[in-house]
Amino acid sequence: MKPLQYNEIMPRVAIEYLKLLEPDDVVSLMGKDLEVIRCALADSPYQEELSTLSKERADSDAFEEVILQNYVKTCEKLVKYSSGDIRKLLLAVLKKFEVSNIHTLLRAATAQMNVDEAMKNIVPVGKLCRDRCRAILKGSKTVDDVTNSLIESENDLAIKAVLRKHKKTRDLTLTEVALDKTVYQGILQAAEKLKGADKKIAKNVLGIEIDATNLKTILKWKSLKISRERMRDYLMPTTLIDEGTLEKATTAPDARSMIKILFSKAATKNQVYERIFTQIIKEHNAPLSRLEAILDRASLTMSLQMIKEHSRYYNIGFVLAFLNLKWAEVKNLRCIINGSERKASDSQVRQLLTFPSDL
Amino acid sequence: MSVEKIEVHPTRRELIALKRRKALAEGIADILQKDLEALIIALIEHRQKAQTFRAQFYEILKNSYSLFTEAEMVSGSLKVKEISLSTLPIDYGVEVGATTGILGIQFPSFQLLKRESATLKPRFNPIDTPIQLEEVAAKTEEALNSMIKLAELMAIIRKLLEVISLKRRQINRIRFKIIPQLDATIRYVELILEEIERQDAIRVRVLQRKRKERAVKAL
Repeated sequence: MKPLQYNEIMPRVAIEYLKLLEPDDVVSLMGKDLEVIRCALADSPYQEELSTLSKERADSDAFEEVILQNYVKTCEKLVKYSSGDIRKLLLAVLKKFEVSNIHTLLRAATAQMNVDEAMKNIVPVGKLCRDRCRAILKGSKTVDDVTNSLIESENDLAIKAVLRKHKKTRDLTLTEVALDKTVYQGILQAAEKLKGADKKIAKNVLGIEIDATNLKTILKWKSLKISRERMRDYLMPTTLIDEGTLEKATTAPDARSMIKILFSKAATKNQVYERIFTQIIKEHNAPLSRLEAILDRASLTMSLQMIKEHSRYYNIGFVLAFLNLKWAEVKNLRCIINGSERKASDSQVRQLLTFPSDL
Repeated sequence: MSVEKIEVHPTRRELIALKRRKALAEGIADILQKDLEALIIALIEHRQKAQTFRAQFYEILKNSYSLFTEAEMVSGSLKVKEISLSTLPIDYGVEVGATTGILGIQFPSFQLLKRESATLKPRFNPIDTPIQLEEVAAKTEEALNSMIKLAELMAIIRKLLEVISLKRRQINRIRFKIIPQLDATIRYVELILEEIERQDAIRVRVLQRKRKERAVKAL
């Protein structure tokens, strides 16, 4: 632990933490008209991005863009005020959005989407700024053209290799998974470089996110009755739950016994895992979306647990907890906005919201 | 309403034949009536089935829309749109066949065909696709199956209505055309035969009178 490393980032995280919307304020937006939500958010940290939004374009898509831009901007601020290995870790986390943009570009080319339509889902981050993405889409007629442009502009060798492979396989889903895999590998490598408590906290928080992702994948695999042969290709780099255990779990006859196999392996090592697995076993008959919601909250639960276990300041725990809280806020707002536009019931929207008090 | 009679020779043999035809026509009308009743029962059953299927179909669609909205709420409408557009579509088709139903009637049968390779890999990226979207895809298939089943039932109902209408026309033709025609012809033949009998009786009496007169003259 090097307190000096945190001299600049800690005050920044504390400031940004204070800017988070209060859960009551978020809940009060449920079922409100988009214009009311816009007015309510005008006095929030989203003010700057909202000011760029014209009244004619005040639909859920535009709101989503604004919210995601704000999240990325906040992350970039943290990167700016960080240094050393923490900076590398934050950049690795931010890479998720860059890869998400690559997904968008590949999907847009595959679906032959209109450039303006595809650009709506681009969150300018890193090298893939809006102009660059627009230029790639405008200058490409086929998926290969997009892939070539991306290979040219990309610095990450792993991503380049995945894109080159995509030109041969042309399997979009597998390429997307491989890209996600490189991101998680990068995150784990960055976490590995940290020292002391930071390393433990980062590995726990980011590790549970990856384990939850793998668990979601095998639950989907099981429910969709897909052949297990190629499952390994779709799993992210493993952390606490290894690949062998995951594969063994898939042979279980039902979701309950599958979770029990994983529980025996992971729960004894960490109490957050234990809590999550216990909840999943209790609700194993619930729809898969409910189990996915529990797993989606795993990372936030772990980061809040890390804050409890370690000091709030001068470690990576608070930074990661803030990032998770901010992401939960983004997801909550997105959920409320889409729910309002589609006239979803308040109870349906509330079920999908995540607040620290619910954990 | 005057009833046309059938052109027949007014003989006793024809009268017997006409009476037999009338009995046969009445028998056929009874059988057709029983068929009609069976068809109406089948129609009611199929209608009830169709109502249940329609309710199920609407329920599945409602759930699908609700799940789709949930998917949009979880992952954002932009992502859902992007994923939906870039995923390889499933090639569906409908196989039309026929099955033998009530009274040996050939009912249409529809079967949803899914032209897809074995499920070796997921359709969507499992990492960034909400499970709701997978569930929507499964529900949509369920809805398509229900829709096809409903279409099959509607086709069967249409076929039953056609057959019922045909049977009703046949019954009406027998009851209100053939049987009255036969009745009228029978009455006509009976009248003619009675007339012939009366004429014969008079002729016999005249002959008997003449014979008596000849006998008196001879004496």
